[in-house]
Amino acid sequence: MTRYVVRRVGLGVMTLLIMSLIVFLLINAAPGGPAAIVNMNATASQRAALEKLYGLQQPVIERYASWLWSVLHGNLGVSYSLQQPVTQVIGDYFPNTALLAGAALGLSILIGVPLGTQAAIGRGRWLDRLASLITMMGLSVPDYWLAILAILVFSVWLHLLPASGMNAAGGGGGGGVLPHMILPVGVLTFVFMPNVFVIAKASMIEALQADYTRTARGKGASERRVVYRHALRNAFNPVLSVIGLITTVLIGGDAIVETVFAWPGIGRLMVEATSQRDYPVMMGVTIVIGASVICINIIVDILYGLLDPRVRYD
Amino acid sequence: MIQKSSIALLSASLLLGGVLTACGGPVSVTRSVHSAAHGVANTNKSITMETNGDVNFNLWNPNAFANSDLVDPLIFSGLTKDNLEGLPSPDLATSWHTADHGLEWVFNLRKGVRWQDGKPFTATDVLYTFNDVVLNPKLGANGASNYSDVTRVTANGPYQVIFHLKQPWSSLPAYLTYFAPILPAHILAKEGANVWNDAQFSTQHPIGTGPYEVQSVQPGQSITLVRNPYYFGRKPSIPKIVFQIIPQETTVVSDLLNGDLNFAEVNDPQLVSELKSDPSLTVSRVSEQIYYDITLNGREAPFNNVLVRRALEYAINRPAIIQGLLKGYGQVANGPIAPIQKYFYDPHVMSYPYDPAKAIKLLEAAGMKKGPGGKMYYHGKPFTINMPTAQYGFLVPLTELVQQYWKAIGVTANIHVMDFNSWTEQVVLKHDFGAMTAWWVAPLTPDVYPYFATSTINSGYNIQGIGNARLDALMTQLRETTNLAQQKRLADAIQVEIAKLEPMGFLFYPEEIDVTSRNLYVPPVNYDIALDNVADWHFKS
Repeated sequence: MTRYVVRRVGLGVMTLLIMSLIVFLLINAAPGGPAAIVNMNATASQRAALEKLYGLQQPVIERYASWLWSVLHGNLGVSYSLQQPVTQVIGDYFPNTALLAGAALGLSILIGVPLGTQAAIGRGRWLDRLASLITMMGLSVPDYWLAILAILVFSVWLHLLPASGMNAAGGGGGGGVLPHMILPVGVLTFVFMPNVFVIAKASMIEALQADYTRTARGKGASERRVVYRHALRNAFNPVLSVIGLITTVLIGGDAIVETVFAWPGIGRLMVEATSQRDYPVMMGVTIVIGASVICINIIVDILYGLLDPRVRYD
Repeated sequence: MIQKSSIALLSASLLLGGVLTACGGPVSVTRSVHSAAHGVANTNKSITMETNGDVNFNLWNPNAFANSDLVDPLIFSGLTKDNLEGLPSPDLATSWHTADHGLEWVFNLRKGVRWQDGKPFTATDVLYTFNDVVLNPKLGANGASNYSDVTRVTANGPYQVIFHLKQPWSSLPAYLTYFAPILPAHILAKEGANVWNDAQFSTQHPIGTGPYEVQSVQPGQSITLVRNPYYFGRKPSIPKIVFQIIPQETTVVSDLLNGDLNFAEVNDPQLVSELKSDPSLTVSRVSEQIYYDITLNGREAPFNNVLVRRALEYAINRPAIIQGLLKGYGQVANGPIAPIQKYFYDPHVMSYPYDPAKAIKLLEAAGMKKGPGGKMYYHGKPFTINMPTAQYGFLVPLTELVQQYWKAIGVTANIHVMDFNSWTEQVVLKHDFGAMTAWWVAPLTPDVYPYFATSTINSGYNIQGIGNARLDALMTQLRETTNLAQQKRLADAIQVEIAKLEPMGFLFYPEEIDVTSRNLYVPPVNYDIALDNVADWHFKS
C-alpha cells in the first residue's frame, strides 16, 4: 500500500510538471497579453516599460524555468491585477469554492445514494419514476439557466433568498454565509446529484441480483440487512468513482455558478484571471486545481481498497 | 476498524454538509432578507452599490480597470472635479489660470486639507503624483498618455503648482477631473519604482483625501466605505457605502429587484423593462460622453476614400439599431461631441440618414460595380471587409447588425469574434482590421485632438488613421484658447469638418441607465459626475 501511494504521488508530481509546462506555453502562445499591457490607453513606451516590469521580454522557456524555481521554493508569484502573492489570492478564494463544493457534494451523496437504492429496490414504481424524471432534468438543464431561474424565483419573486455574494456586507439584507449558500449549493446539487443517482441505481440493481445477495437472503438475513449490509456495500465502488469524478469537477470551481451568484470562488477567479491574462494567477490556480485532482484520485483509489477487500495494490 | 471509522467519518461529513445547508433554511433567511427587500427600509442608513471585480485603489496603476473607476473617486480627490453641469470645478485646487502664453497652467491648492491618516496635503503630493508616477516613463501609468503634453510639474510654495506644457492645452482642467487622483507622497514615495507593488495601498488600505475612506475589503466579495472624518468638503449624508462585487449583469438586476442593491448602472437595456415596472425603484436615463462608431481603417484602400466611408454610413439604419439593441436608450450620433456637452454639441451637423440607394451610388462613384449575386465589386473582386470584433458588451450583436446592413448593398463583411485582449492587440495596437465597431469614452471637453489629429495616427488614439490639415488647425486653435465663446465657435467648425471628412462612421450615443432605490436621491447625471458630487446624495424623507 505504501509503495503504491509513493508511486502514485511520484506520478502525480510528474503529471503536474508536464501539465504546468504545457499550460505555461499555451498561455504565452495565446494572442493578447496582460490587460495592463494590451491597453488602448497605453503608448508603445508604456507597454515596453510594463513588459520589462513583468519580465515578459525574456524567452518563454527562461520564464518557465524561473517560475518553476520560484514554485519549488513555495512562491507562486505575484498577481498582476490583484498585486498580491498568488498563494494569498488562492488562499482567499479556494476555501470559498471548497465550502460550496463540499456542501453540494455532501447533498448529492445524501440524496443520490438513498434515492438510487430505493429506485433500484422499487424499479418501475412511482418513486423510481419521479426520481428518474428529476435526474433527467438535472442532467439535461444547463446550470446557467437553472441559476438564473433559481434567482428569479427565490430571490426576485419570493424574496426568500439573497441572489449574490457570500455575505451581506452591510447595505443590503441577506444574513450570513448559510443563506447565501442555499441557491448555489441547490443548483450544483441539482446538476451533480443525478450522476450519483444513476450510478447508485444501476449498481444496486446489479448487486441485488448477484449470487451473494441471494445467498444472504437464503441465510435468513432481513431485507434491510441484505440491502444495506450486503448489496449497497458491494455497489458502492462505482458510486465512489463517480463521487471522485464529481469532486474533481467541483473542486475546480464551477465558474458559471460562481459568476452568476457572485460567489468568490476559484472558478470565478480563474475566469477573471484569464480575461485579464494574469499569468501568475492562471498558473497558480492551474497547479492548485491539478494537485487537488491528483490528490482526490489517490484518495479514491485508497478508499476502493478500504471498502472492498478484493482490491489489492500490488 | 479502519473501515468503520472511515465510513463513520464520511457519514459525519455528509451529515454536516446537509445540516449546514439546512440550517440556513427559509425561516431565518426570510426575516433577514425581507427587512431590506424592496430597497426602502434601510434602517442602518447605508447603501449598497456594485462593481464587477476586485478594485485597485491606485487608479494610476496599469492594472486598475473600469471596476476601480466606480469606487476610487469616493476615496481620492483630484485637483478638479466635475460639477453637476459637467464643468471642471474646484477640488484640491481652488482656482487655476494659464500663464506664459498658454504654456503653463497654475493651480492654487486648497489649504488645511488632510490625508485620511491625518497628515497634511501639500504641493509635494501633486509633484509626486505627476513627476514621479504619471510622467515617469518607466512605470507605464494608466492614462499617462493623456498627459503627453505635460513636461513637468513644479511648485511655487506648498500651495501652488505649475504644469509646464509642450504646447498650449486649454482642456487640462477638464482632463484633471477624469480619474486623475492625487496620491500621498508620504506613503508611496518610498516605494520608488515599486509603487505598483504596494499591495497594502492598492488593495487593502488606501489613503486618500476624498469624502470616504475604506473600512474593510473582502477579496472577491465587497468593499465597505465610511465617511472620511478629515474630508475638506461638504460632508456626505450617507454614512456608509458598501460595494458588492457582482460580475454578472443579470445578478445586478436581480439584486436591484430584491432590494439588496440601492444604486447601480445597468449596462444592458434589454434588462430594464422589469426594473421600470418595480415601484420601489427609480430608473433614470442620463447622457454621457460616449459614442459608438464604425471605425474604418483609412490606412488602406478603399477606406481612404471619403465616398466609401460615407456610403458605408448611409447603409446603416441607426435609429433601428438604437431601438433594437438599446431599446431606445440612445440617440443617433453625428460626431465625437456628445449631447451631454450641451454648450458645445451641435445637433444640426450633417448626419448620414439611412439611404441604401445613395450608399450604392456613392460606392459606384468610388469605382465599384454591382456584379454577380448582387455583390459590389472593387477592382474585379467582391468588396470584402475584414471585421474583427470582441466578446464585450454589445459589440458582437452590433457588428452582426452592421454586417447585415452592408450585405444589403452588396458589401461582404467577414466577422471574426475574439476575446477582448486579443481584439485590442490585433485591432487597436497592430491596426490589423478593415472595419470594426468600437466606442470611445472621453473627458467632458470639446478637445478631440487626441482622437482625430494626424499627429496621433501612428502613436495615439487616431486608430482610423484619417485626418487633414484643416481639422488639425481647428483642433489646435481650440486647445490654445481658454475663452469659452471662442471654444464654442471652434467646436462648431470642428464638428462640421469631422462630418465632412467622416473619419469614422458615428453610430449612436448610448444613454446611461441608472437605477436607484425609491428612497435614495442621486443627482440625475452620469455615474462619474454623480460620484464627484456624492455630497448631494441623500435618503428621501
